Amino acid sequence: MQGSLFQQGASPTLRMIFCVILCLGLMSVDSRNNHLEGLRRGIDFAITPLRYAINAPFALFSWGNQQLSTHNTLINENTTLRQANLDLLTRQQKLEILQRENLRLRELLGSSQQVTERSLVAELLTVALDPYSQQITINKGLRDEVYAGQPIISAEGIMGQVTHTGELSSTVLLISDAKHDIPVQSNRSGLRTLARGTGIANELELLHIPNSADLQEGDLMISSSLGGRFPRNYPVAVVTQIKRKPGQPFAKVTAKPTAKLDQSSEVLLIWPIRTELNQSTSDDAVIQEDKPDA
Amino acid sequence: MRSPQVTGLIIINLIVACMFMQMPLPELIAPMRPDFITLTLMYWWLAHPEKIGVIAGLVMGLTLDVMYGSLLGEHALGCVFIGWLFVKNYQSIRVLPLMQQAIIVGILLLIKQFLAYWIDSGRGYHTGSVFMYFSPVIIGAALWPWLFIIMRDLRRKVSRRI
Repeated sequence: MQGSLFQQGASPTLRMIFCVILCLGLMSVDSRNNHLEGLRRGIDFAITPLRYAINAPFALFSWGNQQLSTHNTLINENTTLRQANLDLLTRQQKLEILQRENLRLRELLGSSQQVTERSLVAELLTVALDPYSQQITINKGLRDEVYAGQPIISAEGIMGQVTHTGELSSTVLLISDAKHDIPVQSNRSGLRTLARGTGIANELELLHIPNSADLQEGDLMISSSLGGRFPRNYPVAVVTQIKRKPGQPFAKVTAKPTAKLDQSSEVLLIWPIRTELNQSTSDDAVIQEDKPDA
Repeated sequence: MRSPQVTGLIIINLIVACMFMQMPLPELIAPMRPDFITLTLMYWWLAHPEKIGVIAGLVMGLTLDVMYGSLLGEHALGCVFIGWLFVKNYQSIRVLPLMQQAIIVGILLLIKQFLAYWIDSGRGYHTGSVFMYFSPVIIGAALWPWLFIIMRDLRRKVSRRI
């Protein structure tokens, strides 16, 4: 009973003061740079098994569902998939020809372009607890060479980027988060702008668009790769509303992300690789890469 | 008082709380998920303040920060503060009726949530209604009496076996 009668070690108040100072220090360091990534990674590693444990019943359920699906459903699914595959293959043929032509033309112009990208499918583990931050956790981490800043896409378009990586899982900031901006370009007119998240899953805001800018509702905005983080020419959003106010310098433009940010359960991680067209002129290509859109 | 069983129970309890925090919930009620980790910590601060203290609050608070993806220390700050209040005043809080305890729990959760909200909006991150942000506080306070009874029974069962 000695412990309850006499204080051992520092008093709670002293410990509290120490912890508060520590918290304030951690926050100020964490808000400015990422020296604390190691600590975050460590805690994340400790709670990753819990995430998998929680996911296990759901995984088991879907596995059981798959095992028990009837012969008929499987045949039906197989036929639809085969058709879809055929369709994609035909389109791919055309694409390959176009790609080769594009390469040839670019070679003539002497500019380089990213051609092949490595990709990996990741599954969604959890959605962020905070209702105002649009973040998800995926089941791939450092072990699969995921890095902070890596772009995440789905079949419909760009979803977001990795912000923190753990050993077996990583956190993804979606493009609809209020902290996130992505450089985009209009597919029709080539107008460059930034798309900022609003904190609402299906809404982006296009910034600094003059009233006279060539932009229409329904325009597809694609990534312009100006930030150097996202690959070029992936669909990002479709313009839904343009409010031009004569008194204001900029129009208020909202857009809807093409990717289903709140519905996808599988996402694609990509490693943008910049391959040079011509090994002999690779030095030139590297130099030109530094001046985008020259 | 040396009882490894109780220490084990505390650890298991905190792990279960972490699992509750990570469990997928329907989109509609997900924002109302109460902060199970802080609630669990609160119970143990009252029951065994000699076993679990402010430092445990710091560690679990940092875990919360990783789960929320917020600044490291943002939620930990609130946890540390609540821990200090509870460890200092556990004798007077423990004897209160459950309803009054629930009110105190609600106020402290509110302070903690407000700290996080304040830090976040200071960095310019917030949009939307404030109500959604504070609904976990109401749910957490409403859950307290039940949580208290369940945990007390669990604790008694474990300590009786010693």
